[in-house]
Amino acid sequence: MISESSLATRRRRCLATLIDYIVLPPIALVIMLATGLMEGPEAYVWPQPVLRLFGLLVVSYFAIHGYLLARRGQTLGKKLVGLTLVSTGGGTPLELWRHALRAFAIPLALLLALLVHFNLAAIVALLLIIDPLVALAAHKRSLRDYIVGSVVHDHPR
Amino acid sequence: MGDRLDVRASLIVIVILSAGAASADCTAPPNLQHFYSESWGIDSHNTRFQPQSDISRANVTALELEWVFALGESMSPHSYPVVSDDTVFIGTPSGMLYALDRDTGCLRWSFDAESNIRSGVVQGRSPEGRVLLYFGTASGHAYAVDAATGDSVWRTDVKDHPFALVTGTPHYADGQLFVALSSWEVGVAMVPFYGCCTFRGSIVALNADDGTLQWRTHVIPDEPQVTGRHFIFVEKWGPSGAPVWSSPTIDAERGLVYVGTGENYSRPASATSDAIIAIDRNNGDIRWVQQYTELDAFNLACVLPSHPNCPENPGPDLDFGAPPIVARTEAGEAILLAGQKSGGVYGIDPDTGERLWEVTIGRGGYLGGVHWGMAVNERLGLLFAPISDIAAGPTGDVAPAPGLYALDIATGAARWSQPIDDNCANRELCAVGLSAALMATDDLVFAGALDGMLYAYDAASGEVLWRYDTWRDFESVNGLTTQGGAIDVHGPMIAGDMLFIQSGYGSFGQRGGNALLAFKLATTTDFSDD
Repeated sequence: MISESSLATRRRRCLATLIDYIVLPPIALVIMLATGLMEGPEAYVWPQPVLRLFGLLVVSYFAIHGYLLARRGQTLGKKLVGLTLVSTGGGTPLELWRHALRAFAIPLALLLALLVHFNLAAIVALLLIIDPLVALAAHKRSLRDYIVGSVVHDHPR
Repeated sequence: MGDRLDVRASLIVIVILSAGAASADCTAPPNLQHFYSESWGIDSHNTRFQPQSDISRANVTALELEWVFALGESMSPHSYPVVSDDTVFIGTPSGMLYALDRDTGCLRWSFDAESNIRSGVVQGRSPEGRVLLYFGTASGHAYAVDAATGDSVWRTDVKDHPFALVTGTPHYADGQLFVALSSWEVGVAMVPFYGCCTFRGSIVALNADDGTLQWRTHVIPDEPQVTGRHFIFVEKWGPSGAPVWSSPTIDAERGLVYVGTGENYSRPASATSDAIIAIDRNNGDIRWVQQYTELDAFNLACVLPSHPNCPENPGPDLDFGAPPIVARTEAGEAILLAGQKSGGVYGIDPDTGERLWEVTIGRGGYLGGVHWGMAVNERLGLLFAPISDIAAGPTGDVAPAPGLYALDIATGAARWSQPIDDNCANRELCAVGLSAALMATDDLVFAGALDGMLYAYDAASGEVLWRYDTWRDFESVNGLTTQGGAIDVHGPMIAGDMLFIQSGYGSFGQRGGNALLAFKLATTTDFSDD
């Protein structure tokens, strides 16, 4: 079981997330340029731009964090700050698919909404605000944590 | 007794007139026996001269606003009407093609093309006598729609590049439909990761009855090749560009199609950009090319600082946005007339492409100079050229000269000019200039201005005879919020005793709008000259 005292503080979670956000764009840019993903005219024909950018997000995310997630349940940011993701059911490491779902549930929902209607995407985008707000509650779990059954706690050094 | 009879007669007249007004039966199919134009430019020569006009010097001040129709919610409508005896056919940015009652603006039928109708609408008659309406869309499709019912007849994807679109109005002539292709790529080049550029302007000839392709001619014959890289990986391509933004002009006597082209998007520049080109209408072979600005490579990346997709030493972006006009001089000689965004106007030998005369009447810039269209009056031997001269692009220290110019068709000599008034005080997004295409009648020239003013000029002297300010809100017959704004692109259409104009065009930082205004000669006015 996870004790309340081992739950990561919000400040440290924010710091880890910030690091992850900072690292992602340059890596994604290099991948995009090297693959020519957005170079040809066909990349700009709807819905190719959003499909390609979503694909780039997934590939970039796993290029940066895949190894650490599979081995230690950590993103780069969480490793640097000393946090880890575990399941709520006994604190066991999360399976990779649950990491992926946790990372991409909201972007995927946004993508699907965009494919349906732009206004729907604007509504779904509210999840980007709701998700961290949920973590302000006592259990310190975000909406995505509830979806995949995860919790962020301090990583024993 | 006499008075009683007069009252009765008056009542009868009122009843008849009332019945007439109420008889605008919008459920009835359109009357398609007669149209007021056979092309965007009224005739196959794109003269923009309307012989079928009841509006003249004597009665132009009797023009009154009859009805207003809101062309959807977009603020940059880009279509142009074709008008029959009782119906106005026009497209909208949302892809709707409307058939409106000419007298009241009520809706007869509508057709959804599902893409921005950017071109004007033209008409042609199929071998079995059915009248078809033709137009093009931002998705790069050409359409034929049954004018009687609004049913789709055919739809052809004419683009050969993902960013190709149809802006120039297709031209119907003797069973052929000529469609010009321009492109969004000029703007997509602003994305720094985009490998600029691979689009080449082209003309396609379709069988107008079924939409099948007869030929396609790229105005840049060479296919683009990789010319370099930026950001290590991103490939640069060229030659590219030379879009055709305007309606083709048909010269049946010579069997030619004339088009004007735009700038190259990337280097190397081609010899066919910013040019007038004559194409064999039967097989698409290029007969001659006359280029007016060499080495003009430009795209919208050049308006951003140090952009990797802006060509080295970017050019001044001096398209031919106005279609060439085939006219006759007073001596009966055929001459081709072309106006460029540079402010240059040219007389050209239609057989050889040789430049016969040239004059510069404007400062020019990204948005003209001569932007969308000139007009001629052969009886007076005059070519009318509108000058925009908006401050956009490398204008240097040259003063703008916006207004209307009348030139001798045979020599280019100036006959008269009329500077345009500045009505932009207290108007945001307002510019002074004439950018929209003109329309001429036997003794008038009509022009719409970027400040929303609609003018009628005396064709012989340039005197302003009538003006109407469209820069305001209107109540429309279809109940949508309706505003006027800048008048740009296609300009006025005259049809008998009526004048149609779109007001509002927000595409280049000007005041947008969505108003189709229908003016009509008031019937109670005494039109006699004396």
